[in-house]
Amino acid sequence: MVRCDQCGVELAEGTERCPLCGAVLGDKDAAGRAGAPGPVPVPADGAGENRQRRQVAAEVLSVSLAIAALTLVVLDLIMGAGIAWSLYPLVALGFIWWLICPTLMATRKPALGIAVSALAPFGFLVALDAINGSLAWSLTLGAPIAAAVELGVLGTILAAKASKIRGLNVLAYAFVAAAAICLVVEGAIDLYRDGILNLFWSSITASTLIPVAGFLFYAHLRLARNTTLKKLFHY
Amino acid sequence: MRMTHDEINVKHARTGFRDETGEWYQLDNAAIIMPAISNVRNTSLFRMAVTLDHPVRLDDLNTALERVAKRFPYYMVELRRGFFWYYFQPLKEPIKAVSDLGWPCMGYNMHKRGAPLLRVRVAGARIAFEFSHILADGAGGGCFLTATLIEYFKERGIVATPPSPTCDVSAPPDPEEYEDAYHRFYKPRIPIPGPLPRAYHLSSKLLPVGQCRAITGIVVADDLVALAKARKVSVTEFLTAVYLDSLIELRTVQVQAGARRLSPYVSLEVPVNLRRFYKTKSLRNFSLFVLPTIDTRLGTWTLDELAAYVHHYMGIENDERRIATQISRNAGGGRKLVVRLIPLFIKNFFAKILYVALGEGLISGILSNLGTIQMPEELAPHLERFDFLGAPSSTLKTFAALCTWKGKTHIAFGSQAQSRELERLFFKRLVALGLRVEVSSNM
Repeated sequence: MVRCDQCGVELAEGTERCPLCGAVLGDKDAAGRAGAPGPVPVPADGAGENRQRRQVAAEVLSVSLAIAALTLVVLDLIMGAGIAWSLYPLVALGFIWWLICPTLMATRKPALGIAVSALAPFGFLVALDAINGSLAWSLTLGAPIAAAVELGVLGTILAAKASKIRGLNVLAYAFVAAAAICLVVEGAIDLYRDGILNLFWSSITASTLIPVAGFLFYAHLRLARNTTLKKLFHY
Repeated sequence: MRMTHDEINVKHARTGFRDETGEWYQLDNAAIIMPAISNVRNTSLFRMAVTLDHPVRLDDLNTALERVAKRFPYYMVELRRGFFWYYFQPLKEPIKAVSDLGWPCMGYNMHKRGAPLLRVRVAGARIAFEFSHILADGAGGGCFLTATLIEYFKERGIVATPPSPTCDVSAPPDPEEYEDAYHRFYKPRIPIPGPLPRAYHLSSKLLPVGQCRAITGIVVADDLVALAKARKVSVTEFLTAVYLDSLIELRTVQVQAGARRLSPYVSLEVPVNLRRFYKTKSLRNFSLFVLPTIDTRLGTWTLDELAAYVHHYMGIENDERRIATQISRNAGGGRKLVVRLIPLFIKNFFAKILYVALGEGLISGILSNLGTIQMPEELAPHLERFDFLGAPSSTLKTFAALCTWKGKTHIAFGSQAQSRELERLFFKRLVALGLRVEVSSNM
C-alpha cells in the first residue's frame, strides 16, 4: 500500500497518482502542479351485480329522459297552441333512449340488445323526416348512409375478432371500412340528388386510405407481429 | 357492488399479462417516468459487481444465465412504446455476458430495439450486473445476482443453498415478484407531502459524454460502525452527515468565490427499502426516499450536529405513515384517468420538465446504502469483493453508494463531473476522524 500525503488515503501498489487530488505519489510538493483539481471552480365484480347495475343505469336514464320530455312538452304547450317545435328534441331524446337502453337491459342476450340499438339511427332519421309530413329523404339518403356506417363498424369488429393476433391490422380494417363508407355516402348523395352515380371525392379518399391500410397490414405482418392493441393502448 | 380498496389495489398492482402474442408487462409506478428522462448521460443503470477468487469462466456464466433467465422472465424484456404508456416485451434472444472494459453504467440505450434492460459484464475475476432502474431496484438486482452466482458455482462443482425461493431457479416465478407494490399498498385518502425547496447542485463541467468516473473508498466496517456509534447514529446517518458536511463546504467555497443565486438548501436523498414496512415478494422497484435538508442560512454546523440532525430527521421521516404520503402522491397520480389517457409523447414532454423541477431539482446528491451483502455461506470463500454504484445523473453529477462484505465497506462515488472535490472532501473527513481509507479509481 502507498499513502497519499495530501488526502491521507491509501492506494494500491503501483498507483502513480492519487485519484482524489491528482498528486504524484511520493512527491510531497507535486499536488499543486500535477493538474490537481483544486477547489471547485465557480460553477371485478360478479355477473349478478353487473346486471343489477346496468338495470339501475337503464332506469335512471329512462326516468331522466322522461322528465326532460315531459318538461319539453309542457313548455311547448304553455308557449303555443299545441305540440310543435318540441317534436324535434323529443325525437332526439327517444333516439338516445333507443340507442342505449336495449344494450343496457339485454344482459342475458347482449347480441339482441345491440341489434335493437343498431336500429335506432334508422328510426331517428325516419322520425325526423316524418315530422315534416313526408318521407322525403330518410329512406333514400339517410338509411343507406346509416346502414353503411353500421356495417362498416360491424365489419371491423368481426374482422378484428376473427384475427388471431390483433394489432395494427385492426387499424387497417378500420381504414378499409372508412373507405367503403365514404363510397356509399357519396353514392347515396349522388343518387338522391342527381339520380346518377358519379363518385369523385370518395374515390380520392378511398385511394388514399387503401394504401395506408395495405401498409398497416404489412407492418402488422412483418414488423409488429408481437404488438397487440391491448399492449399498444393499455392505459 | 363497489370493489373494495384491496381489490382495486390488486387490480392496479398487476403488471403481468398474457395475450395471443405471449407474456407482456407494464412498468411499475417508479419506472414509468424513467424512459422519458433516460439518455446517453442518464442511463438509469445501477451496478452491482462481484469479484471472484478466480478468473470468470465465461461458458459457465452463460450457462448459469440461461437457467436464471427462465426463473426471471420478467427481467428478460425490452422496452416498447405503447400509445399511453411504455411496456415490456419479452426478449427474443437470451442475454449473454459481455466485456466489462468500458465505462461503468454507460454506453447504453434502452430505447434501442431488442436492447435488454440488464447487462452482465465480465472482466478478469469480476462479474458486473448492470440493471436499468426501469426493471428493478437494488433488492431485485441482488436477488438476480445471487441466483446467477449460485448457478455459476453449481457449474463449477460448488453447490449452495438459495437463501430464499426468489433466488432458487428450481422454484417457479411467483406473480407477486413482478407486481407493482406501490399500487398494492396504496392507501386512499392519505395526504400528499408538502412542496420542497429547490436544492443546491454541484457546479462542475461534465466529463465527455459516455464517461463515468468511479472513485471507491474501502474502510473497515467495524471502524466505521464505531465512529457512528460514538455519535449514537447509524452508519447511513453518519455517512449522510459527512456527505452533507462536504456539500456545505463546497457551497461555501463557491459563495466565497463570488457565486450568486446558489440555493441555500443542501439536501441529500437517502433511499428507503419499503420492504421493511410492507410485506411483499416484489422484485420490481419498491423504494422511496427520505430527504435530510440543511438550510445553510441558519448558520454553521459541526459534523456531530449534522449527525444528530440527520439521526432525528430520519427517525421522524423513516416511518411507514410518512412514507405512505409519498406513495399516495406517486401511485395516486398515476391512477387518475385524465393522466392515464394522455398520449405518451405528451407525457414524456412533461415528465422531463417535472423530473428536473420536482425530482432531481430538490436534491443535491444521493447516498444509497445496500447494507451487508447476504450470500449463501458455501459461496462466501469464493467471493472476494462487492461493489455497488448508483445510476448516473448529469444533474446531480456525483452520487454515492455503499455496501459491506467480509468486514469491509466499499463507498463508491459515481460521477460525471470533472471535479473530484466532493470525493476528496468526503474521504478527507473520514481520514481526519482516524479511519483508514483505501481509495481506487477507474480514471
